[in-house]
Amino acid sequence: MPDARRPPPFSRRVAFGLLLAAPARADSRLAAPIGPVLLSVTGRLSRPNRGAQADFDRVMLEALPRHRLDTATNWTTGVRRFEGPLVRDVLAAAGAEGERVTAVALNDYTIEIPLKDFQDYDVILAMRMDGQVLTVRNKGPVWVVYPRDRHPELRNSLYDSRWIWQLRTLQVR
Amino acid sequence: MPKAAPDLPRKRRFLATLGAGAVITAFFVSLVLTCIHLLRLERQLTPHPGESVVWLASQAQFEAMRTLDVAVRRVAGDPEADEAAVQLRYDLLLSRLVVLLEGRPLLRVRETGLSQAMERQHAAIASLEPALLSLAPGDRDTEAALRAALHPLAGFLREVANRVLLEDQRNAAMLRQARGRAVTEILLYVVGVLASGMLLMLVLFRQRKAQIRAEASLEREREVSRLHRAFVSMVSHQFRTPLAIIDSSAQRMIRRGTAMPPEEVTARAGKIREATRRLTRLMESTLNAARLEAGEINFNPRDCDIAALIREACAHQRELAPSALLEEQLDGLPTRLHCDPTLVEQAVANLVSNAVKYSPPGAPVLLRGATSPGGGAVLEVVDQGVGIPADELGRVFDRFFRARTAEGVTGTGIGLAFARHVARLHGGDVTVVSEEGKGSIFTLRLPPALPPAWNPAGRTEPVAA
Repeated sequence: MPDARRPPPFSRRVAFGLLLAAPARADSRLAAPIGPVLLSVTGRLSRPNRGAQADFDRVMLEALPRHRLDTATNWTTGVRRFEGPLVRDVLAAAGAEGERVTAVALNDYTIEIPLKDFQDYDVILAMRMDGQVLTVRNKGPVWVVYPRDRHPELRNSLYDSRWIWQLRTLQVR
Repeated sequence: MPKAAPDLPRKRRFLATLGAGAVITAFFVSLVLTCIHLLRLERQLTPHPGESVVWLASQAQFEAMRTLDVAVRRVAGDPEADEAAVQLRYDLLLSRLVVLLEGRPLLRVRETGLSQAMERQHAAIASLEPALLSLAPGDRDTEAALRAALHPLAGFLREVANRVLLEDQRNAAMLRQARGRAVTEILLYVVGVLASGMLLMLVLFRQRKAQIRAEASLEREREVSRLHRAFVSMVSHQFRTPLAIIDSSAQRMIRRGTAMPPEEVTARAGKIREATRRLTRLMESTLNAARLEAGEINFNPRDCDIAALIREACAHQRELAPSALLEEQLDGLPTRLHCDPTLVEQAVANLVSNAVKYSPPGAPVLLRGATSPGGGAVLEVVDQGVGIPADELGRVFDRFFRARTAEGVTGTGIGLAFARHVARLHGGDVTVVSEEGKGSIFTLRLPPALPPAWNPAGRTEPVAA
């Protein structure tokens, strides 16, 4: 995966830093979760809410701007409607800064994703499919969904491997 | 010229070109089609993780074992294996089974013929939910029931993976074979295209050669016809004047009859004789031209005294034109030279008569002989005559060509061409430098001995001149 290893050019890094930093100035502290934690963001964060990490429960994730994405996937039949926040919005809410994330699933499946993906494409953390809340039994509660139908270049094995389901942790590096 | 003869090969050549073109096109189309086929095969060869059912099955197997593990720990009273942990492992296991029952993975499972068994396995695991979620420490019966369900599941998943893997291997082998065939076909077509391309090139090359030949012969024909026209025009011009002189003199003599004094009769008869001589010269010259044209000139070289030959030619010229001033400086010439005396004498005579003809009365013509460094003869014929315009200098050796400055002077335009032809027969040449109004210098060069190629018969025995 050359994308993950090669650092992005300086200008893009700065732009991405600014993008992530923008909401940080408006509200300097992330609220603590009330319900069960669905997703933890760790690593280089400016807005943690528990120790050095930022935890999100369902309410917090659903409070972020909801994005809708209609797409087919390799693991389902037909076009499905996915809903959830953009990955870049979640990372911005945690004040994350870096070049790539290591995504870890509930079953310890791990994959590295360059942050550039989330900037170049509207990748979402899908929490609903066809209006139904995703559960652990059905690739939930959080599934990284790429807009593969809108971008033909995403239809290959490299990007397929980044569609991590049952996502639990994002480690920012 | 027979018209049907060249038509047949032309038709054949056309058919050959058409055939080669068709073959190339056929090969090329086949090549493109095979390339498309190969591309399609390549796309099929591209691995797709969404279809890697083997990996998904192994993940499900792993989750089955972890579920069993957490259940056993729960029954054994491990505090870490609480209700939530059991629920999570069970949910993960179910999700892993569901993945194999939809989308592309399902298609692959169906190919193995195990999709219904897969459904049954899933139903069996789903029916475990109440027992698993109410699992309490020490519940050995439920543990046994779970073991009895999860172990066969693991075995079944291994079977799924196994069949998919075998199927993949068979597909891959088939694809490889198909690709190998396609590559071989492509190579064959490439060779075919190259071979037919070469064939086509050969055909075109031969056509081109034939065309060049045809053009050359056409050019030759045109040249002959041009020469013919020039000859006719020359004859009608040159022969008319002496004929008119003869006619008018004869008329006068008839009209006056016996009243004409004897001196005038003599003068008139002299004029008639002079005109006759001119006609004879013209005729000889045209005969020469005809012989030159037909390639009928006999070339018989032998050792001879070149200076004597030239003197003879000068004497002959003096006879023809007693007023001519010929100055001979021939001491520089080689004493003996291997050449055809008849032809060389004629060539020299042509050069000398040419110089005399175009010189004003009283202007001398100089013949200067020398020996070239190699021992050959060099004869310069220098006149102070009308000269030749610079733009026409290159054409004076063309047959029937006459320079602008030659107007009004009898001549056939053959003499110089003949002289040059003779010189070249000997391996030498005739060249000219000239200035209009001041005079010309014609230089005849004859090499000492003929180059070997000139005399392949080896007739070198000297014959006394």
